[in-house]
Amino acid sequence: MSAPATKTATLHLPDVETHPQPGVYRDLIESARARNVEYSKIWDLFAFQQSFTVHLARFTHGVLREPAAISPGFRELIAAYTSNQNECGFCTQAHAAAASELMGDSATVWAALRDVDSAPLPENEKLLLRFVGKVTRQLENVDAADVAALRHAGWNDEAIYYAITTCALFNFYNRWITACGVPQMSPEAHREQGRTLAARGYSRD
Amino acid sequence: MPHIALPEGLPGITGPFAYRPETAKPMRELAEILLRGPNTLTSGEREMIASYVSSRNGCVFCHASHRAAAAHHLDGDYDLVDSVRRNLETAPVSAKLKALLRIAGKVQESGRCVTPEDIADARAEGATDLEIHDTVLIAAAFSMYNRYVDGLATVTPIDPALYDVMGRRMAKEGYVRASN
Repeated sequence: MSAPATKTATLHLPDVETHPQPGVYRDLIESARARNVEYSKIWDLFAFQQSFTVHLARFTHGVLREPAAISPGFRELIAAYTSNQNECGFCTQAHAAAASELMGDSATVWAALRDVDSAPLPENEKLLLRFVGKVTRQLENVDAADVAALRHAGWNDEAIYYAITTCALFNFYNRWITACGVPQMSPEAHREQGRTLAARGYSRD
Repeated sequence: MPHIALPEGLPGITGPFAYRPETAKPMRELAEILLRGPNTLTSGEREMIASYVSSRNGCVFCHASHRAAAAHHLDGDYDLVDSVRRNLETAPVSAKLKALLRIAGKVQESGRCVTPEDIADARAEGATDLEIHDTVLIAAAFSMYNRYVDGLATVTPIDPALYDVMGRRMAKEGYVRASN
């Protein structure tokens, strides 16, 4: 069985792309192909190994959307910021779009991704973004002083937990996505996906 | 001391698991499928990948516990598990596992480090796309677990005997248990 030709680039592991398991992600892919529209190739990864990805989708939804001391919009910005640190273009675009929708402010989201220091964000939010940057790139240097500074800025245990867990989750996604070669989509397609993620989240149960 | 107030007396990842059971449940299920689910890679091989990546991330708890789990899948052969960390090229493991561990090591740095040549090398040693994908998943997942465990500064026991007991349970009973 081979995949029909598409406009988008092929993943590094062809078997992943050509062996979708039956289910919601395969349906989404087939529908997009039938309409000849650009689609998110992370769906190919989700369709390939559903015994794994069904739990992953639930986990992602919980980490990013469960009521917690950090808003879902700011958790999406943490996801985008982590992804940008890891140079994962797809995840950066996807979660910047979702953050923009939920925060209602795309300019601030992109300012934070370009340069957190000069972004028009409250100091405590800048501090939390710099912290997840350190967890991403210098895990071994994260220390009690970093966390004391977060507390001093008003973040409680629950906020720190969700910041670290969101950051950790995107250190998974960024590696999976870039190693498999999931390409960025057009800005329009990412904006559309951002609207969907903002409205319905990640669980497709 | 952990960075946030976690339930006391629980080592490593089990502390934050008890703090937020709703995030713990899917994290346990992901580990169970990745490391013990039906697969053409043995659980010993998959635990070696998990342990190797955790060691490279400097995560003592994940490295020691998955090192012990790998050894329990491999008739207690800690020396074989340690050989890939000491020197991957001379380690007495299959050429296929070496190629997969090279990919895992690159994923630990960044998924962007994995080249078409790395994938071709693994295929040439007999790895299927499914096995390469599973290796990427395990290496990426442990880049997550390691940050969860060390980002929160969870309790890291130093007694090797404790890890041996933990590794036996992980190998024999798995990751989805009624209690921990």
